Amino acid sequence: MAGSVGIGGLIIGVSLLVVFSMAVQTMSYQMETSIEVLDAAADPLPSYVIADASLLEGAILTITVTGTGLGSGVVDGTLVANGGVGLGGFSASFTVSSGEIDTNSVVITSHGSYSTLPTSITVSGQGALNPAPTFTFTTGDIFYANLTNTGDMTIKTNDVWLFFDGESPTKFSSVHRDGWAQNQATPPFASGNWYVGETVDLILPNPPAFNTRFAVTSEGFIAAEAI
Amino acid sequence: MADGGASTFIMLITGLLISSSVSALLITEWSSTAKVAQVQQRGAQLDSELDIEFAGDPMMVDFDDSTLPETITFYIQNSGLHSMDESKMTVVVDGVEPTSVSVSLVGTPTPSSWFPNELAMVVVEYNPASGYSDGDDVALYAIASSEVVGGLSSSASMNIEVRLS
Repeated sequence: MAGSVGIGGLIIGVSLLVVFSMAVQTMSYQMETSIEVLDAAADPLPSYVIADASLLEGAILTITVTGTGLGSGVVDGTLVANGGVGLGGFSASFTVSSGEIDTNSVVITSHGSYSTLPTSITVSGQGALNPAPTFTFTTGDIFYANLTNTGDMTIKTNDVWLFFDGESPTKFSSVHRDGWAQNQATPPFASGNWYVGETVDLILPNPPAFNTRFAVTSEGFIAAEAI
Repeated sequence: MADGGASTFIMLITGLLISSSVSALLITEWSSTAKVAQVQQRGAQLDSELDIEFAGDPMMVDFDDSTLPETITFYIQNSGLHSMDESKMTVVVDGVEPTSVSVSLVGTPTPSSWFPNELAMVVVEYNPASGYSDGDDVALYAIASSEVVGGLSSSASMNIEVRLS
């Protein structure tokens, strides 16, 4: 009798262990999958605004110093574009080192916009310099836009695409560079992280041909601005 | 009495063997059931990790009716977590299947697969003419399959109303 009770108890115990192990196994599977699903569902979506966007046609893109004006008495100053027609607005500065213009010092502070391009660039307000400093320049269109991350996540610029008149898809990270406004030399690529609240400047010389709208797309979020 | 004890013992041992066998069977079956359920849930999880979205300017979707075949060109971003198969895409415009659809990947160099966040360019062709003209609003619907992920494949779709230009 005692033996059968013992065996019966053993059977019940084993059965309970089996039920317990099954329940644990199932719970383990369920929790693993549920957590993964929750992780996937918790990904926030990007959000941003285009604060402004403008396309300047006939802008001065780069300047090269071809004559430094050594011995002319030139001092630190600014440059002026001559002969251009249109909105204008070009401005640039330079510095002098050892009596001549530092060839790497020219900084374009405003590229300007001209329907008829300027014919020359000269030193502004320093009279007749001899020998006169000389400059060569390149022109083209330049596109500006300010974009602000208004969402609650850091956006990877590699995930953001730019569209010009709905065409010419361009990956943001491939054109977003640091410091165009401060240095005419091609600057390095900007950080690939676009942080929450950060406003980034997009300055794009010689953009794809367009004249109406600029759109920014990422993961289904679309912002667009008329030019 | 001794015979009775022996038979009882035999019956108990038999019962124990049977219950053990049933337990083993139950464990095996329950494991299979749990694994099937897990596969189903992984399928649901894969669904949640796949997504495609319209990319571009919905107000300016290129429409070229200068020659036949007429074309509508738009872009779709893989906004999911896994690669999609651009060759397995179906596109419907205003609920009607166009004459033909071609899909290519965007980028330099061209991506080898439709990776997450990459774009696919979709060119929808109509021959004979679609009857659309610039300024018309049309409803685009696209559905694409994923590459095989962990032995599973699923699909994602997008729909949006856009203006042809």
